[in-house]
Amino acid sequence: MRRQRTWVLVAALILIAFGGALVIPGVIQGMPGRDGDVVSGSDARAVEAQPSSPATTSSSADDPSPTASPSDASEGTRRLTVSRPDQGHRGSFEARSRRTSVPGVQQGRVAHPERALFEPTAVSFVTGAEAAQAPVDPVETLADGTLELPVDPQRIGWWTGGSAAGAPYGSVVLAGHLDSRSAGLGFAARMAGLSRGDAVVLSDGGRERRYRVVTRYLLPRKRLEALTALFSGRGAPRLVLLTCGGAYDAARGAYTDNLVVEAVPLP
Amino acid sequence: MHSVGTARPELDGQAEHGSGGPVKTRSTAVAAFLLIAVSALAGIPPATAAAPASVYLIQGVEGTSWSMTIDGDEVAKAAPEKEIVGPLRLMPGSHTIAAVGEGGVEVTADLAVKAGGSVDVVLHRPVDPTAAPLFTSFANDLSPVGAASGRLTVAHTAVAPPADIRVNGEVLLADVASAEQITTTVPAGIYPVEIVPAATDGPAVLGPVDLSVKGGRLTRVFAIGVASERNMDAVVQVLPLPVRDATPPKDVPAGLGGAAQGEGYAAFSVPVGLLLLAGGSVLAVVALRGRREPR
Repeated sequence: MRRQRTWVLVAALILIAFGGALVIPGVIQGMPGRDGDVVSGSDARAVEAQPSSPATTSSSADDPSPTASPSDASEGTRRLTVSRPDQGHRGSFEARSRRTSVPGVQQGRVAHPERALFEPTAVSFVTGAEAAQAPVDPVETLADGTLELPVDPQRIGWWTGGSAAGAPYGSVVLAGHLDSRSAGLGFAARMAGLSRGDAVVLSDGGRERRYRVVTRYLLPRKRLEALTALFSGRGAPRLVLLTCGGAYDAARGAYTDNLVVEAVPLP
Repeated sequence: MHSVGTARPELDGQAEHGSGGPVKTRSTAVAAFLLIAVSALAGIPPATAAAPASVYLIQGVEGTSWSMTIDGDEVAKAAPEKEIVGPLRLMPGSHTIAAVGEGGVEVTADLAVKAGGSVDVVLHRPVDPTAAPLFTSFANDLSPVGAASGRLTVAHTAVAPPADIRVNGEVLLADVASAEQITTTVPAGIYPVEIVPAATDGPAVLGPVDLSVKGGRLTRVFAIGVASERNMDAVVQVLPLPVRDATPPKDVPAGLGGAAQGEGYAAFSVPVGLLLLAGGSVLAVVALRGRREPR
């Protein structure tokens, strides 16, 4: 009798193990955007429950790009005029061997080269103690108006029309594929794990620029104005991370939303 | 304090141009490739092989005039302060530049240039105003910028302490010392700038003055003069830059539809898995309860 119960218990544990093995990956696949049903359920709500909603955070509102005409505020202020160069000498000067008696021209140095702007070649997300890194490729707006993205979902694109890392104004825009049929979940899927306060680091192998996540939200893809505002070169400096999210519309073969993470530069 | 972001741009980035950018870039690239291919076939070396450097000379010693020569040839006669000479075409290699001031003071230096380079050479006072003027060269970054943005370089060639360049009271470029330059990229617009001693709130040694930064241009600002004599000024010069398309995308299709697979898997696995979990739990409860009963 006791032996029989033990066998029942073992069978029960086996069933639980198999059940768990089936349920857990199914739910993981359903992380933002991966699976229509699951995302539009729990995950989408979790994202929207973030302190700031798309309506208030999409920076079209707080973009301080001034609309005042240039002359307004500068009344009475002297304007620096561009000097017109004297052509001087139209011929070209042939090089000659260096006269050792003459000192070399003093080379102007670059002040604080570590603060210079750079085009990012790598991005890392730091959530808690963990960091994950992806290589970054330059991408541009295609002729059909969509953003070009690296085909490999493990790579992230940096929009060349936007700001470089360290620029004093505008958005540094990074975007990546959430997933692909052949390669599964992309690096950008990790964006769903970013929350307020997490660090995002851009680097070019030498220089580094750190950002702190301030908000994450789903932006419906039909909200073009809000999307356009994310690409603004004006306004306060920020980092914008984009991928797909929301429900998967099988008929269109596309997701309904973009997952947006905004971060601000750390000093 | 205002934000740095409150500059007053003249142009709206999105309105400035259409969507032809990438296409244009590509056709230019194709044209360039064809040109190189044709010249290679014809035995003509590519133009860059012996391209001269483009050099501007800037007379940055306030209140004086200087005649300047390159390799012994006069390029400027009694140039007053803020005079710019150029672009001068200097073949790659070594050149002698010289300036002769009032009373026969002579400044001579050797300038080495690279093929296709863009260099500004400024005749200016060193930090010690009693020492003789000197030439300092600054290399220009002519890499592309977004269409609605301009690159801004500020060079410190004045008799002044290390300085911050501020816009609307906010530091745009921090801590630039004599014979240093600093470069950034900003949206096209007019910026009310002032130069203050580094890490202070002023008083400004120059400005506020309005500085116009045009899209697709490199704007260089050379600060000259003597701060303690209150005669600081700036020489401004502009060079064209290659422009990158900056049309914001209308859509970011960032999912390749891996979900199509995932959906099928999740649709099957989650309910079945839940059933198995439920069944297993019931069995476990039965088994454990049965175990406790006897005795």
